[in-house]
Amino acid sequence: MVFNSLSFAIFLPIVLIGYYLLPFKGQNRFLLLASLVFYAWWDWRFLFLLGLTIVVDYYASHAIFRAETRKQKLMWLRVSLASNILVLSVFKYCNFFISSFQGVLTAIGFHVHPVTLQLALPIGISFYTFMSMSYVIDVYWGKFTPAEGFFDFALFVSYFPHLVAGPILRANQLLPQIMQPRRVTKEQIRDGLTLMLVGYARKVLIADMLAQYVDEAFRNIPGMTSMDLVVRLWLCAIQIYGDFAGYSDIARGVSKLFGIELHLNFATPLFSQNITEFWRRWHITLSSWLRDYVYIPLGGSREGEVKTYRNNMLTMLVSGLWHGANWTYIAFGAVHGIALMLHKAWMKITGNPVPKEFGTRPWTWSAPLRMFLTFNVFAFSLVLFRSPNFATAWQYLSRIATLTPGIHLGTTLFVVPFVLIGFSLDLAQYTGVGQRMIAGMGPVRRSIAFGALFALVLIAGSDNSLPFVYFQF
Amino acid sequence: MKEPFIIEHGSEFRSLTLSALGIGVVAYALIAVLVFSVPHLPLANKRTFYGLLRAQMAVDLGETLPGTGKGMVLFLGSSVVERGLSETIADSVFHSEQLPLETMNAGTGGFSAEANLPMFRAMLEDGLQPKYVVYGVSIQELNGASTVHAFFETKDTSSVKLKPKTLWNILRYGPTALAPLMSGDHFHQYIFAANNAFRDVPNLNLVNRIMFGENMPPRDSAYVFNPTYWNDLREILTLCKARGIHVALYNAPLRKRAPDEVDIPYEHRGESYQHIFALAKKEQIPLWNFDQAGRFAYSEFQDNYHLAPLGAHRISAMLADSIARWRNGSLSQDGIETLE
Repeated sequence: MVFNSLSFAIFLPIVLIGYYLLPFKGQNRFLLLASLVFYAWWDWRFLFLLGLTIVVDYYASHAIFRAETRKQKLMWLRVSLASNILVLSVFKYCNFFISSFQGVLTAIGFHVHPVTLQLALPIGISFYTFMSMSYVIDVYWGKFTPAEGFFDFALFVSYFPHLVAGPILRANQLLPQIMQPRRVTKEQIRDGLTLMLVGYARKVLIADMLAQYVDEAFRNIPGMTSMDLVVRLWLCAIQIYGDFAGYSDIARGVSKLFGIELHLNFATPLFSQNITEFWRRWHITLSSWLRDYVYIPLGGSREGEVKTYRNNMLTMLVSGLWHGANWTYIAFGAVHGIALMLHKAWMKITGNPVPKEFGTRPWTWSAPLRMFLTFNVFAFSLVLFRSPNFATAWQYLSRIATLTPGIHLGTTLFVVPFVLIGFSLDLAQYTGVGQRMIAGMGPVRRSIAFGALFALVLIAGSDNSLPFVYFQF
Repeated sequence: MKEPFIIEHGSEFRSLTLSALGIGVVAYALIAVLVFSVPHLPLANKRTFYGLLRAQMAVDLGETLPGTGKGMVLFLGSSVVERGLSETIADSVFHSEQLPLETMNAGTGGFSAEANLPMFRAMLEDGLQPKYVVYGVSIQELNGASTVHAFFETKDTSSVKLKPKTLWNILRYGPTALAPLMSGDHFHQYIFAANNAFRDVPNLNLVNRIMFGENMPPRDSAYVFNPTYWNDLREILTLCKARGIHVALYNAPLRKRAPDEVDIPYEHRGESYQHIFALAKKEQIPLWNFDQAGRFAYSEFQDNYHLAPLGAHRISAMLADSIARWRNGSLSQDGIETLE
């Protein structure tokens, strides 16, 4: 089931009514059942994979907690990690490994025809396995006491708002909210509805609207001028952002209606003034996951400059591979790894340490220029993200390099109002004006403002709904 | 057992329900206002919008005409009719001859007989009862090159309906009816359709040409007679006769191609005409032939088969005159079996 579907529009009110009518214990069971229905709506056969992850990690975490020696703890950790990595390897990466191995053999003169698996990629597999893995690792590190109740843990992994496309939550962020009786406030309801509407607007009004122009560019590279291709890369950046941030907003908004807070996943990343800041604002829950479970265990920045750069690069390669089983995604990660290293080196040369937090930064004369540069680094890296193979990516970039004059304005001009809507939403969020405005509105004015936005979403989404891009990861 | 959540959170639940209802009611009220504000907006999806705009315009006019004591002369056909017939000129002829008739041009670009059939059926089902139907036939009419199925997304065009603007239909189809306004690909089609629909025989301006490019009809070598289309045209005639509507055909003029112009199957015009003639004879209905050498000057054409406003104004007067003479019984059919 996807958030932008009629089935979800019927599903959510039913779940909300059921949830409000039940006492606390029943609520968790009911939410678990609803989450399984939500997942099974796409393909019920993959429930067993979700179930496998839940069962293995629940018992492994308890075994780790009860184990008396470090060796025993490590053994159970390995069981859990092996199980999760095996599931990911078989269902997401198997064909990639086989074809890469075949490529190596062909390169050294051996021609083989290996068998590949015709398996559908289970949606959300990268999200829920990462959540479950981090839980077990946290228990192993002694950061967290495992959840007593099996159903509480099952709900932590499968809670439907985050299940298929994140945010990737940690046990300490979500489990306490699941295990304790909850309260819902009117502010949460107001903010939840706001987030849902903003999310739908980002998805339907911006991402889906821009998708057709981006798709057209990648379908017909020779028919585009250099400027067309550059403009469509900018649109691609806004599309991917609108799609994924839109999903995260809806997920957070829906969850607030149940009184459960999900972690912020996007903090206006397109206003970032450098690439380090970008990755602290973009897909925050994945970035912080990689920081805590890949970068820091590799040594982080504690073992000298060269190893810091190496760790940065390895982390970004893992990030690329997380996005998809394709060398283009790994190259996407590599480009960002290089960009992060260059930024770190530049900060060192100029004598400015990279700040720990960025927040809303004061505007300087150079801020727009730095934002534009950072935005372009991201947009151009999306050639790799969006191309099915290196040949297409190379064709795209080569065509830009021909500097073919002209631009097909045509219907592309039509996207300007939608880009402006997206920009306004982000600017309102970045400056905090949006939040203040909504908080200051009475119920009537809010209904009118939100109703107008909802009308636009209904009209735009009535004949143009596309699945969320990040479902494939 | 602990109290249900709703007992403690009754006020919050009410707030949630009222907020959601408020947003939904405001959204749908805005959509309803928009649907009623856009003239002749059909409750269709964005692909069928183009043709159904004309159908809805005809139905809307059909509802107001009885009050004026006038009957409707409904023109059907492709862009040859859409851009080749001036309602103003035809009505001025009817007025000068003191005939209580009013013209509705429902010709739609890209729609030949099998696209006009479901549109016409939808109009009739919605209660339209024109006095006369005149179908303009072009060289493209029977050659199987229509894009109708792409427009209607179904081969079973009998399912294409005009939906009346009831409150329920507006709630159900209002967003899809407005969807062309929100999509670049369809917004320009909407503007193009509206531009053509609300202007008298438009001359294609530069913007139109940029938006839609040029027509690329099949050349002589690709021309094929398609009996399915012939049968669809015949079905339109049958529908008219069954409802007591007077129906006639006219054969639209062509300009002989020039070497530097877009090709048309000019050499097949005689073959096309013979099929039309056979149909008119079989159904015993009038067929007026305007594809005669020298009848229209080169400058009266926009291209090889679309008339420029000058030519469209002249053919409109001729057609109105033919209808007037047909009405008083002094004209039935040209009697020319083949083109010269």
